[in-house]
Amino acid sequence: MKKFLSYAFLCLVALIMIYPLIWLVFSSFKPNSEIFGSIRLLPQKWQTDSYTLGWRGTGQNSFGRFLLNTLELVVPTAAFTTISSCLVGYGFARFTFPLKKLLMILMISTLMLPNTVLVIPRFILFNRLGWNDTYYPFIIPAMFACTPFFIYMMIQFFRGIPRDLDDAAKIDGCNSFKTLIYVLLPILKPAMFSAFLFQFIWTWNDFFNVLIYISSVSKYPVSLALRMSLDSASAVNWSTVLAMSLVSMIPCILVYMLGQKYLIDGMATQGIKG
Amino acid sequence: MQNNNWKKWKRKYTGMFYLTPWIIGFLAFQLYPLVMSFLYSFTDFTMLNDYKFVGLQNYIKIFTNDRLFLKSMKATFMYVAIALPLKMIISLFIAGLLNQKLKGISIFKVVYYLPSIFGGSVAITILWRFIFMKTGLLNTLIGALFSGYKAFDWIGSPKTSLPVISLLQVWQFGSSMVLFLAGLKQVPDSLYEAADIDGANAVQKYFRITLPMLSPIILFNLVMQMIQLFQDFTAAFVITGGGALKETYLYGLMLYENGFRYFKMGYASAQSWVLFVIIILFTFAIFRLSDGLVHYED
Amino acid sequence: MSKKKWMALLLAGVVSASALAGCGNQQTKTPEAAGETQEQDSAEGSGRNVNLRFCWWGSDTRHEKTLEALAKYEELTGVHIEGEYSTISSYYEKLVTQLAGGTAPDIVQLDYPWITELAAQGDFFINMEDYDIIDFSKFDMDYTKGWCSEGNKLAALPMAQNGFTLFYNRDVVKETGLAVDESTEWTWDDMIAEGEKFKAANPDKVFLHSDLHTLEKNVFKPYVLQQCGGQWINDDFTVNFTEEQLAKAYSYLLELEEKGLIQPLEETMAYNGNIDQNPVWANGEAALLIRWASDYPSLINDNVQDIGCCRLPVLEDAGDTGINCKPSMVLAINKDSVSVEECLKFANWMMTDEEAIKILGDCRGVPATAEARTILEENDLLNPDLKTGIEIASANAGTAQNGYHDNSEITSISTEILSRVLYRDLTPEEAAQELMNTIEEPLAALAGN
Repeated sequence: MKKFLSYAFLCLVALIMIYPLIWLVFSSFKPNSEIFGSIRLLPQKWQTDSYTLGWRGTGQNSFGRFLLNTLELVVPTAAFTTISSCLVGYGFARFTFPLKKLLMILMISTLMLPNTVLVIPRFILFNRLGWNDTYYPFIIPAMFACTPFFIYMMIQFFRGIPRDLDDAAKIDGCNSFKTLIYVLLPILKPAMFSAFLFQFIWTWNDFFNVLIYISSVSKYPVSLALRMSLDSASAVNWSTVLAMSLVSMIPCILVYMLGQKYLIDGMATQGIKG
Repeated sequence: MQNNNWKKWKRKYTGMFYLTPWIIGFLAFQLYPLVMSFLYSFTDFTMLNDYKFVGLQNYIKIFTNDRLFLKSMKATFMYVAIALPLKMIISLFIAGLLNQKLKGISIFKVVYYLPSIFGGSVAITILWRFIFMKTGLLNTLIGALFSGYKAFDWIGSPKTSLPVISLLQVWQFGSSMVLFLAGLKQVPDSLYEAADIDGANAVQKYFRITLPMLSPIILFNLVMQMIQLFQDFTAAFVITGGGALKETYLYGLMLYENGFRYFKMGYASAQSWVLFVIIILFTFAIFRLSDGLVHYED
Repeated sequence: MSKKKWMALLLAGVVSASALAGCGNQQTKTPEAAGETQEQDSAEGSGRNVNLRFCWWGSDTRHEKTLEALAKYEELTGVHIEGEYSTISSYYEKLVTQLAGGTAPDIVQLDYPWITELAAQGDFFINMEDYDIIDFSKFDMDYTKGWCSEGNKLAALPMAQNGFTLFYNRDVVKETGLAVDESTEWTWDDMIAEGEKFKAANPDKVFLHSDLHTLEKNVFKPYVLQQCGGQWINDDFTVNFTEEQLAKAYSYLLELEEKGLIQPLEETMAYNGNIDQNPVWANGEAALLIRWASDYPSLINDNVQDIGCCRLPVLEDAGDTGINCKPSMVLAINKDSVSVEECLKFANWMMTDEEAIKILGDCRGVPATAEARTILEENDLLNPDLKTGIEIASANAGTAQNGYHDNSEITSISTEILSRVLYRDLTPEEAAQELMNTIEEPLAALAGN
């Protein structure tokens, strides 16, 4: 009975969550007039070429190219973020050192200033480093844990792990780095995966920052490519725009599903004994 | 003796060592923009001009002579007040349900996360209209349930526009949910087994074990979502443009317009630092209040 | 705080201060220095070995045709021009950021009010007349100078013409018998009279399709300008309009809504700025629409296939028609370009060479030179309805407005106040007073520049 209730509730909420997206999927087969003019789910006139047209891309580059570009930008950014945030989070969570509180406050407070007013000085800085029109403004700061969100996140997850484990490892002769690698990180797999996933998806979807730094169309990631031909005064073929925005979600969905399956569900919770 | 000193030194600074990437990153990439934006807030910087210092003029203007400041502040507080609790409660609740060992549960995990993958996609504008326009999905449903319901446009009505854009945030509760799920995975089974032996029921277990063990993550989600919501303006930007009588003129949108549309970057910087102080105050308040409530294993 | 903490703080301060000092000095110098050295290279060399960058916004068609033109130009001259094309949204933000960092492209597509806005902050574009490369005889110089000069400097060249137009959906007109065609020249009162007849016979249809953005720019402003004439904002940052004239315009808009001739604002807010996406238009249920002529292509869809253009309504005793005929896009050249001469040669080729004109077609609307228009017409490359729209607007053009006309801050104030009238938050009289009071500050700020 309880199971049935759970299922029924989950299904109901799932329907509410997903119906708009299903509508979008069908809309990618509709002409503009139907996308904007009606809420009917199924197209009256099936427009079947939106995916092939969209994939062909614009001008010199196919959509496949933009997808590859995005991976080139997003994968290192997400991977480096995960690694660097783990290290720094470990430092904050497990050690005491001078100025710790101050540094912690400083770290979190950098999250509190809106991006808008940082755009110009940041652009000037990265420009002076010669990083204009490259992916470095995203990848290099990721190496240096420049998204404090993830540092703080890792700190909180570290702090959820009993210290007994560290102590046991120490007795077994592990130094602090070995403790991190062999004892703590295996437990933190779900957290590390979440960090990777979030940074992956956020960078994937980031429009404004990418727009500011990337000028060459051949280096555009999908977030720019999707909006590349949106123009208020011209006829925009919305079915292809929708089609490609759906296609561009697929890698994110795959990352999420694989991560869930192998890193989270596959993990034995018994690893930690309280 | 020397060895002993080295050990002491090492114990003291090992933590620092792990912090090095961030310290370098902070000094190299974050400090300059932060300091510059602080300096800009005392200037008439337009992004392109040779700016001059104007003292506290920008700050004085914010509090004495800005007709949109209060309006925007109010909208932002409302936005946070609607979206934050809803998002937290829903994601916590759903994560609890999804943490059960049921068949096909991984499908639900995907479905609930899909909207978050969507982010601020170009399709959001279209989607929200599809649901909330006068002839949209919501009105059609209500109309079918209650005869005599007078349909109206939810996005265009000043009374409903703010809740409607807040719902985008609520719809995208996936990231909080994923973190809660990850946190739940870290709760040792042995705790529940022990509780079973003590004869605790499900509700007791939830409040005595699950919530305390999850509290660091709850705190994290609460603080981060709050910080993010105070600055967010994606929904207002793509769905309402701040409109319906400026009811959705979120602080972030005001900053963006002042900075990039009206070339008042100096003024926008001052407004940003005001927001900074507000967010800091709220963050400290949350930390203070949570002091006794958050349970750490260390 | 302990001594050590203070020391650390101090240290952090010193580091950041030195970083600041370093950047502050070089920030302005870097781009110029870079420009100088590169310019030398190209000036000494053959001049045919340069790589230029050209940025524009637009649709797929515009991207493809412009790229085709760039390829042709490279074939002819060996000059490679990299196209940096994107969407209009955030285009300006990016450009401004690039200008701040000294990395803006060599050739830049702009909207005309940006010339004024950018000029107020610095000197970024060359004076076209400083060089003897552009064939100015092909351009209507009154028009060109009227819209693209900043002071005595010709900062840009118009690429295409535009103008306020009253569009009508021919299918709806045929079906309802609404008396409107190319030659229609209504007054605003005529429009109400026709609208009332229309609504009585067709209560389910929308007479004048609208959104807030359009009502402000294409109805409210011309209605005011038709009363007061001249500039919307004078060059000395005063205004010509009076509170009474504003109130009259607000009342007119309110009357349109009260009589059901436009949709209530509440129902169009979600489509503000995307007037073609409103189901009323998408389903072909609206008869008329006032917009820029250049929006023509976006207004066509499955249900709206055949639209015509006629003159914007004008007040009976108007001194000025208030019909804005700005260029729809202008082309400027970065003064820090690696080779200003090569940029100018390309610009000249793009706008005056027959082959280029044929390749580009009407992808930027109706070209600004008469010769290009003739070439396109002879080759059937110009939409006849769009051309008619531009011709009618040009024949009835009002005063050429300066760049302050589209000042973003004043426009958004005016738009907001209009919305308060239509949401019944302000009466027309209160709104007129509010506008007068509120624009004082941005006007003063402009004057201060």
